[in-house]
Amino acid sequence: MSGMETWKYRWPDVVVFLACFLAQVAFVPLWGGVRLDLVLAVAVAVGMRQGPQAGGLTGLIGGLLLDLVRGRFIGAFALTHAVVGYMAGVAQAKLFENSLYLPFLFSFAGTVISELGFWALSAIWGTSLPLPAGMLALIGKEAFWNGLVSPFLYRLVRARLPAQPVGIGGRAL
Amino acid sequence: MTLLVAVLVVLMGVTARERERLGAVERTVAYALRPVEMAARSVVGAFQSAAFSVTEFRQLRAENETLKNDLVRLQYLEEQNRLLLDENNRLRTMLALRQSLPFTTVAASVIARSPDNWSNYLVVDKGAKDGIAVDMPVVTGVAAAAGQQAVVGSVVGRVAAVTDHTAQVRLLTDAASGVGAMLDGSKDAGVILGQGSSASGLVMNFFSRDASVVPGDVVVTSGLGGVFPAGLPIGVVESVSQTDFDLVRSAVVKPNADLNKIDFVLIIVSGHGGSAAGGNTAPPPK
Repeated sequence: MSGMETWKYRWPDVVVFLACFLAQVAFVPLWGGVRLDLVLAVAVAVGMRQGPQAGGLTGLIGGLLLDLVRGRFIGAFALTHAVVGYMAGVAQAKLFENSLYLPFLFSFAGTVISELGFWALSAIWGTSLPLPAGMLALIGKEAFWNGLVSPFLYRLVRARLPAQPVGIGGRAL
Repeated sequence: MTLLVAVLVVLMGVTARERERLGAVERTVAYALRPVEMAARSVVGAFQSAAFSVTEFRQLRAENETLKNDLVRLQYLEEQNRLLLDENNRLRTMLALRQSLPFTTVAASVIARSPDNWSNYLVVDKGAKDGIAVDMPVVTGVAAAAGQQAVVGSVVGRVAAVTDHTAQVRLLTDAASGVGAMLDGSKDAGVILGQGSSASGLVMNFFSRDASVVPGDVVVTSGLGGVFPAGLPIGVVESVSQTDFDLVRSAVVKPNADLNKIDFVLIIVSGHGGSAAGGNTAPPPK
């Protein structure tokens, strides 16, 4: 499949990704309270639909953009989101099941892994963040909300084409 | 994959600590997102206003009556205050004392907030071109009207990073935030530390294990650290504890300002302890 044909098939996924990122940066913080992570949720959805490498790449790019918006500790979200997106693809491949509770489950678990991973990375680099009970409860709430939006994103993201290797422009990563 | 992880690890190491200036890439992203953030704020604000008008009409009517009565009383007090101020100015002139205005402030609107749960910051619509620099204190308040001073309220945080037209304000609740503080009554001093989320509040660690503190005590800035001027209100003590083998006395402090709902801030650009070097100041000690 040529690059142009791949792009014609994939551009809705790019729109979904960009919409999630812009919503995360511009709209989600305005409502106050716990912030869900739409970038992580879309990385999980892409990983489940298109395979671990696509999920990892989506998480990497989305996480890196979030890091650039924050302006510090750049690379932390990129790494955690890439890992979660990749793991979602690996887990889906092993389960051979197509049920809408799986996106919720993967997104919930992925959020907990991502946030605790971020905390661990902060501790390693000496910018340790406190982890009080309130913060753990916040992670739980975020995981729940991410899980709730995941089935919708799972439906929006297109599945991998049978003959297409997982990658960009028809080339495997 | 290994190379990618290595690049990310290096990036994290370089950017984990405070930096004097944001990189060109981060500034470009901030510049590109600014119109989207402002548009989102307008849309959300419109929806919030519509919902508010439907549900809060009765409450507003009662509040309006109360405020009318308060206005009459305050207008009388304002006139009394003006007379006293005139007399004060006359007396100062007679004594040849220089009249000092404590702060010069720049008003700014909040256009965005931190997109994740680990950091607590605001993005405001004033930047280096408006005279804003890193480490300037940020407070709530009322902007100066013609011929009058600004009314400075409670501490919100400090400027952490600056671009040409925006500034990132690190809130008191951010885990990297630390403010020199003291109790308004007993003058016991300590440091206010953010806990990483607004739900967790603020914790004040006192320098003395025998600090005299009780719930209800008012907490203000101490002026130590050279960033915040002394005497700015921060919050009220909610509870007190003794930790770490009874060596550290600490208190949970509720901030006066509702940091989740701020739409407007004042940035103190002069009269405070920080510098105004256009964003190239040294980062605060951790």
